[in-house]
Amino acid sequence: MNDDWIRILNSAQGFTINKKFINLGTKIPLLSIDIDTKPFYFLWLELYPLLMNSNSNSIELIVDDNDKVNNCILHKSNKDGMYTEAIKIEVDTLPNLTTSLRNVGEIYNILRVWVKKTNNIDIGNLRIIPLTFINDIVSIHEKYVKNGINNDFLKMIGEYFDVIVNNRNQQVLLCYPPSPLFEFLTKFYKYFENFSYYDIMKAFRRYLPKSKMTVTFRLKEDSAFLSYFINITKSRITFQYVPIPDYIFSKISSNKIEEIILKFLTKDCKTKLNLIFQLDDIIELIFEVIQSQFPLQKERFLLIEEKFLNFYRSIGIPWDMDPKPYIYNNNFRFWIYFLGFYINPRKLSFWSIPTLLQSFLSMFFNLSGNILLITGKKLPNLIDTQKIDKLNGFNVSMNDGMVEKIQYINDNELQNILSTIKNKNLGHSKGDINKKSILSQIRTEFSNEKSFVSSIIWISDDMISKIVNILLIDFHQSNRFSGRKLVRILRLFRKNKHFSVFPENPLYRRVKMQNSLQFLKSITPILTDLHEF
Amino acid sequence: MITDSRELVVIAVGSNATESLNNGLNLLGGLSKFLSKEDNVLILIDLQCPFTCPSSVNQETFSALLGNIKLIGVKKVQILPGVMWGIDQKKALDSLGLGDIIQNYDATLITYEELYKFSAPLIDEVTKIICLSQIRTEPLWKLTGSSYLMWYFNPPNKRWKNISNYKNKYEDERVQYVFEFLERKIPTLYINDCYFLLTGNGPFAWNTTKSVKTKRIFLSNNIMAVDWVTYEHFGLDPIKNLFIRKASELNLIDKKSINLNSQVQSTYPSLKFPETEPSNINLEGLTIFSGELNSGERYALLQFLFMIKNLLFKDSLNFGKWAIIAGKNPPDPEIDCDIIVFGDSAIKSSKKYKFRTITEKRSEIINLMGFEIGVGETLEGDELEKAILIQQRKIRQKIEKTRKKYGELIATINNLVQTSDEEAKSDKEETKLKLQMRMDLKINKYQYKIEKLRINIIAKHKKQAIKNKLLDLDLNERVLEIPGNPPLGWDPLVYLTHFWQNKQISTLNLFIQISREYYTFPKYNKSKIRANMKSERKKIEKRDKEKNRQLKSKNKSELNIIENELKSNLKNLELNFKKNTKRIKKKHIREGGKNE
Repeated sequence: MNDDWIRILNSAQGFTINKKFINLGTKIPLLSIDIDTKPFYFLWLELYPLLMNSNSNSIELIVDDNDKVNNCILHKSNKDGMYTEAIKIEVDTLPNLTTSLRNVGEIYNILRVWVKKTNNIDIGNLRIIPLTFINDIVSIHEKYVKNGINNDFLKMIGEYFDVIVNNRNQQVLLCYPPSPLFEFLTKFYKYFENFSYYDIMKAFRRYLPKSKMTVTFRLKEDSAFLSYFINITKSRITFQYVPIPDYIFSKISSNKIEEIILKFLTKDCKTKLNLIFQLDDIIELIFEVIQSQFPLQKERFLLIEEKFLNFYRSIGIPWDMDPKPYIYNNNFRFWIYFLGFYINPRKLSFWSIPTLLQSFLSMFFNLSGNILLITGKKLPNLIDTQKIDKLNGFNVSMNDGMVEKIQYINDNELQNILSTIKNKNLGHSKGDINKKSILSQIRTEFSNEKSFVSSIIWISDDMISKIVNILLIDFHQSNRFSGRKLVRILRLFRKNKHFSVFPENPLYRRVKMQNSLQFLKSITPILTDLHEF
Repeated sequence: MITDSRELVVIAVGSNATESLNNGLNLLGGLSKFLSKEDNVLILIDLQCPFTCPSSVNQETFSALLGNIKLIGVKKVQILPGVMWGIDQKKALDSLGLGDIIQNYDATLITYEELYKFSAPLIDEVTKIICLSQIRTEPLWKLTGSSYLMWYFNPPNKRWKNISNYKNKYEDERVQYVFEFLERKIPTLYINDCYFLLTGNGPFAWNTTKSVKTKRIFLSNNIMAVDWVTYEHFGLDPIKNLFIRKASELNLIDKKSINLNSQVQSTYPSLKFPETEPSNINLEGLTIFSGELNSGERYALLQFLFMIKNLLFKDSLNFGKWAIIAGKNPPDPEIDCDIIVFGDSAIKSSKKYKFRTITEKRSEIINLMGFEIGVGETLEGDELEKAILIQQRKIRQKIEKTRKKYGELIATINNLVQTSDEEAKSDKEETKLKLQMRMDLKINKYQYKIEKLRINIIAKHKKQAIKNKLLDLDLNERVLEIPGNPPLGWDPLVYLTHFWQNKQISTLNLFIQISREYYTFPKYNKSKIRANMKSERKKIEKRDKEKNRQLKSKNKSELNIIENELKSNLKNLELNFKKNTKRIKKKHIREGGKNE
């Protein structure tokens, strides 16, 4: 048990006895992110149900490759459900677990009775953790965290998830009652197959824009706030814990506290983007996602989308930011309305957007069939003899507008298809050059060689980065006019080098042909609920 | 070898549409059994542009079919996109990516104009026909099939000709056309593609539909047999198919005459079929008033409702109440809302309905800085008394205030310390009397005002009631007529865009903007519409004038009587008021004298 964990337990024990926190500095176990013991206490209480189902006493069996129990720890928790003590149990004293470890429910019942009898503790959770799993996690942690500095947070999380899923698939990492998060990660993996969470995180990391911001979580207790200054650079993401000074809590009423904290962070960290979230609202959203069954039904998907949009539009309640962009200023918005632009994030039509979006996409894109999605730096040019940049392909099988399966197409396979097309084109005489678009030719060749694809979509890496940057950062910066940012996104869709679709459906052609500002003007009343002033 | 004379129908399945089709063709004995190198092949495909598969043909099945035909090496392959009213065939084909596939397999597109060219119709050169129909649920036919698709051999402008001229019923026309076509040419192969099957309200209502992956494809060289099996497989009575019903009546088909070769053992679980009753289609604020709907009108109305159910999904919240009137002799909606009259028969039969005009021009009460101007609704009896009391309440409050004010003053004087000084005593009494007199005079004035107000209000309402007897009708501009017998395709949508403001119907506007590329919307002639409205308004005015002529002279005399009555009442009231003022003054002077 490392020092950080001991400090956390001691602090929790102290709070349980004295009802007062001695706020000690520590690190979040396995993530190596600085935190104080008080916010950690409340963070644990909120996140634990996501990880392990319910806050209660737990027992942990650490087993070797032969399913032999090597170690046993009883985690005693206080009334709130926070661990206060770790009791090591001698393995020899454990009752005879004759049944297979896979029968986790049965083992839980045996241990529950035994722990009650020997230690007078009611256990609510049982975890069976293979030794190899612990070793893997430790080695991943060591790989990414050197001298207390985390070099690549997202990739590390990706690798953790992969190890969890591997162990779950081999049925060696077991929890009773089941862990909602682990169950979801496993279900998601089983449904889509042939991917790794590491790759997803890697891709996500690639598209994250450079930025400096503060993110604060309001925990259940009134004075428990968890703030981080996050600096995303090209090489790494750093989290710097920002303790909130006590004087802030003593002076003001609780409903203004968030506002004051945001102002404090803006001043203290000199950041232009400061966000605050109610952690329980975020956990509620995460539960909505992870409790979904696969294959995900259209209705469920729409409901989740609606909940996310509703969360976003309810600025001021589940989340807030400072300084706010111009678009949240009523006077400014009046003039925007006057010019015919119905942009108001607070009036986002959360209940209709998912349905309308799904309808329009199902109507114009072939959403029952296969779609080939290609991403890369540059759209390949069939005339160039130079080597084509690396490409990534995803063959997305859809039915009724919902993704059924995603097959990853690696660079080699795509390069082979492109060279076949080039060779075929070389065979043509000069006057008989294939005039079809590159995407059309890829579709034909891919359909002949692999499987039939009804649509093909090209998105450049640059465009994904730009969209992520605009939606996450630019759109929420106070000194920018949000409408201009939306126009910039629409303009990206008009440039073939960034985005291209074959066959060119009418919706895409409309976006391409119409002036982006005009197009924005025509779609904003769809996205916004009217009745503004 | 004994050959089975029954009609062979195969049901094939596969892990993808290509495999399903190939399995099906193999079960039928191979495509070469039907086609030869000399053949000039025409393929009719289902194209509900812009809706992609499974509303329109499945690209993969289509591509696999063309691939199989290419292997045989037929002389010519031509594709006829079976499109609905108003859709440009070539643009529709390209927007769904089928133009590219056609080109890949050296096939060519053929349009209706080329197929039925007067000088040299290409249909005559065709030696083999294949019908590739995409199966989906449909309100009137329950399930589309080969017999449903066959109508699309007929060019869109001819399809509705007989129906529009009331020469034929919609369903009869469709069935008759298929029989007539089969007399001229019998297609070689029918493919009912259900690999993806669209259930629910069909392609127009794409947010109330669901695509089901059945992986099945039905094939046969007999149109009746393939549809019979398709219907039965999806739990429908084949007789529900209007074409099969007719064929069955003519003893052209029965179950015994079908030889089924299926790769699947069981039938498919029940599907969700479309709504067939227009009044069951719900949209925010909408009420549907339908009269007698013939099948063509019902079909067009359902398609229209399915479309607006999607396009106005969000926007209908911006309308308030609205209504659609359709069919012959529909009920007259006595509601104050936007009204859409759908189709020629509804327009004709509702010409003299009440909703066409605004029947009562009520002068509204305008509240200006606390003063109410105008009469409002004409009232009688208790309601009128109530209205009078409400208007009088301010003056009554003033009376109370006056009483209180002077009462308090008199009480203060009474409470002054008693003195033996006679002069002071008489001064006190004099002041009291003065105050009492002022109070009485003021109350008298207010009571006069109360009575005057009452007389005026009663007279106003009496006058209004007489004036209301005169017809003062105006054209109801909140009525939109959508012409057509029945209105076809997406034509009605363009009328809606002119009826409501842009921001009210933003989704509909976007859809129209996008679909202008491949759909020819009718031209909306604003000046013609305005001229029509002007003439309608004139007609109403003329009608009003004629009816009012007789009433006017009678009303005039009645109004004069009321006017005279009002004048005399007001005169009497004023006299009474003056009398009372004098009486009060006299009384107080007398009492003052006594005290002295």
